Amino acid sequence: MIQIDRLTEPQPQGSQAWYQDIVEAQDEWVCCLGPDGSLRYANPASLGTFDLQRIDMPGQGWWSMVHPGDAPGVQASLAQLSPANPLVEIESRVFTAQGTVVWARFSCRGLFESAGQLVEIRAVGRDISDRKRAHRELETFSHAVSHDLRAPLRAVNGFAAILLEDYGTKLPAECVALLERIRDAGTRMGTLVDVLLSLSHLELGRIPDQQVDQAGLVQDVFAALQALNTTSSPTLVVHALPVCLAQPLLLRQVWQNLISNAIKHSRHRADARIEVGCDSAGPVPVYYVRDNGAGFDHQRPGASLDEGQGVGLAIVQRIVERKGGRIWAQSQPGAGATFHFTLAPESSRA
Amino acid sequence: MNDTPRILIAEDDVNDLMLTRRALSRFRQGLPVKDFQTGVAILEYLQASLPLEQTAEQRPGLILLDIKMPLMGGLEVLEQIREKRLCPATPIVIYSSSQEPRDIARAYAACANSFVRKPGDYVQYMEIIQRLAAYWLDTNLTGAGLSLQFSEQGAAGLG
Repeated sequence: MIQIDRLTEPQPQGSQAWYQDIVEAQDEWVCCLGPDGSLRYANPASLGTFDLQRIDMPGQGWWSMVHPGDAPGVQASLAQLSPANPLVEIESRVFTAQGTVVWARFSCRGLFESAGQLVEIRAVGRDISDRKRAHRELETFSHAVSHDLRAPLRAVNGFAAILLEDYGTKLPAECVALLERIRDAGTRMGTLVDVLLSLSHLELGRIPDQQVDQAGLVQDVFAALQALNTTSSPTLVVHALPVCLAQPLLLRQVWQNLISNAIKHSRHRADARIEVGCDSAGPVPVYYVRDNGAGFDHQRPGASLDEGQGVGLAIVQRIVERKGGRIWAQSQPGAGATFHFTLAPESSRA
Repeated sequence: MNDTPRILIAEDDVNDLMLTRRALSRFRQGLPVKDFQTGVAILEYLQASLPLEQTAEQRPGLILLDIKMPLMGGLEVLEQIREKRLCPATPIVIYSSSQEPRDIARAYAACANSFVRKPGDYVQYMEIIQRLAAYWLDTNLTGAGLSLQFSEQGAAGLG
């Protein structure tokens, strides 16, 4: 292996050979191009993958390896390069020297002279075929889920609703109550299926984040949960919550699970109180849901989040982690519980 | 009394069909609706009964196509209808539980008039079907009382 030679003869730190070594040992494709796509430099990984002779032919250029179907998109992305916007990400199919087609993702950085004229493009790329394949499988899966789960669910909650509509007055009260349970459970599961679908679309990078008014969302979620809660009437206190960038349906699911959990664990108290807020002192906002309910021993492994939460919690964890955030709980038996979560990596500002 | 179906539905899921029919009868009682369990069946019906020169009273006011059906899905039915130019003045709505972008793109590429996602929730489902019927049957103009003429080249480039 090449690396072994290098290891036996380390280059003086800071020397040109040392820098060159860093670039040449990369598994990723590193290329420098003229504005016309002519090749100025390619590292060994690129040399091993692409037919550089073809690229070197007059009138061909680096972009000749781009699949014709993706070429217009690539051209359009590169045309966006400017001193104010020097970095573009490109995904396209490319031809390898063996004639096969792989999916590649390139980060292209433009270098500009003082007048703003593009003088060089530095492209770093990698093979993302596996990811693309996984996306396609996920797409097939979400298609199947959306159709095959939603249709029977619609039948469950729909026919229960029809029975209530058409025969509600003729049925005994207990029968009506049971039908209402079927209808509501079906509707709730329908929402979960929708959330699962949103999650898979999120994985596919298809749903753009939106500005979400969290205070409104929390009030909304609480009202919807209380409409179903006949056993307690907790007081909800909502402290200031910042507007945040997120996928509304998913963020709703996070709040809904945590608030519903708080309602559940505090419902034995006449003075049940749920406090929702945000601590903005740290590098990223830390949201919390606090109740004065039964609490739990959070030292006990497996305690905390997963009790009685099932799919709901798994979803919440996925959503939060997908945003780079985390979720944790603090509690003592009898002293209520507080669930915290963040929606951004703590090393960065949200 | 005109018994020509105003709405044609291709839907293989009997549950969804019951809900759709219920919504339509709530929209307008006695509205003539004809349903087909397969894509092939609705195509055969259209080919047998819908010459181009039909007047608005004779042609259906709306065709609803489910996507996922055995043998021939709704999108393929749509493409066949357009390619064979079976009923150019009848709006065709694709309605499906899925909302996959590639399905939506394919539907519009074949000149679907609308793409509607079937809601999972019963109340929303009833509302959307009634709204669809209200728009396409009452608001949308399909040339009532007229005999629309379509040129042979009208659908060139489709498909």
